[in-house]
Amino acid sequence: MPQVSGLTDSRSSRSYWNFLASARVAWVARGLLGVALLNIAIGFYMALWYAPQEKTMGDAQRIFYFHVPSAWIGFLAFFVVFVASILFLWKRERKWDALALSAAEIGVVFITLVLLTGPLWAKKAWGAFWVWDARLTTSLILWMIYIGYLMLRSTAETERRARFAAVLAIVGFLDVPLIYISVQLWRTMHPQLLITESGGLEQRMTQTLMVCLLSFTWLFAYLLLQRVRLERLRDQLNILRETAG
Amino acid sequence: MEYLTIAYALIAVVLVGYTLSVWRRTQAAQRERDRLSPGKSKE
Repeated sequence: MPQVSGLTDSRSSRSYWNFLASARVAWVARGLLGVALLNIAIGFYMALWYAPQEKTMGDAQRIFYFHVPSAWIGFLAFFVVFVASILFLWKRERKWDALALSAAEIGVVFITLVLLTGPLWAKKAWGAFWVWDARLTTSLILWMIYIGYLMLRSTAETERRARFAAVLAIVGFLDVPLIYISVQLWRTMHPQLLITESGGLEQRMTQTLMVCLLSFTWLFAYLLLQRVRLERLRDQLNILRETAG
Repeated sequence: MEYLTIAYALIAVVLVGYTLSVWRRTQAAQRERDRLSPGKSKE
């Protein structure tokens, strides 16, 4: 019986779990971590020394190179939760539930980074750590929704609870496009990211941002793989405990 | 400069902390699995 009582695995799911547990995937995970660390080091160098200093905000603007990728990866993680939750409700297979839970945890970590680094930038730009601006508020709501999801999943696991959490994750994801368009819908102080040929971000700034985004994407892939493998281990442990008990 | 230093330090602490947390939980689960079922290690 898997981690969530009441759920069973199909033959394709068992192949999927066995593939994840294989030595080849373990090597892929190590490779992803190595590439991520190397890429983060390059991104760090570019953010500090390659990208030009912004005129009005000075060095504090360099927070942007990891703040924006944190937000993008957080949204990507919640998109994975959204898709996996739909597939879980449809197929009722543990593998989708495990993927959703793993991605939700990682998404919360990255959105936590957004909420930690954003106020530091805001203090320099607006003179206050926090303002109840549309984008900031909707981002905080997103973080709270998925904290709620994780709290729900941290208690005794049943299929009913997993289904309820999946519904929460799907509804909660509606906040992501709202965050994206919040700067157009409401009057907001939050800057809008412009990457165009005619204006907006300077070329070296764009390059630095893309390198940092890529580095966090590698890290996300590594963390997701490892986190799903952990769910697989927990399922195995549950089976062993029940057999032993 | 101090805001930048604090921001980068926070990013490093959170990411390293979370990565280590996943690694430690995995190690603990592997040890427990090996204890309950010696010789059945797959990872």
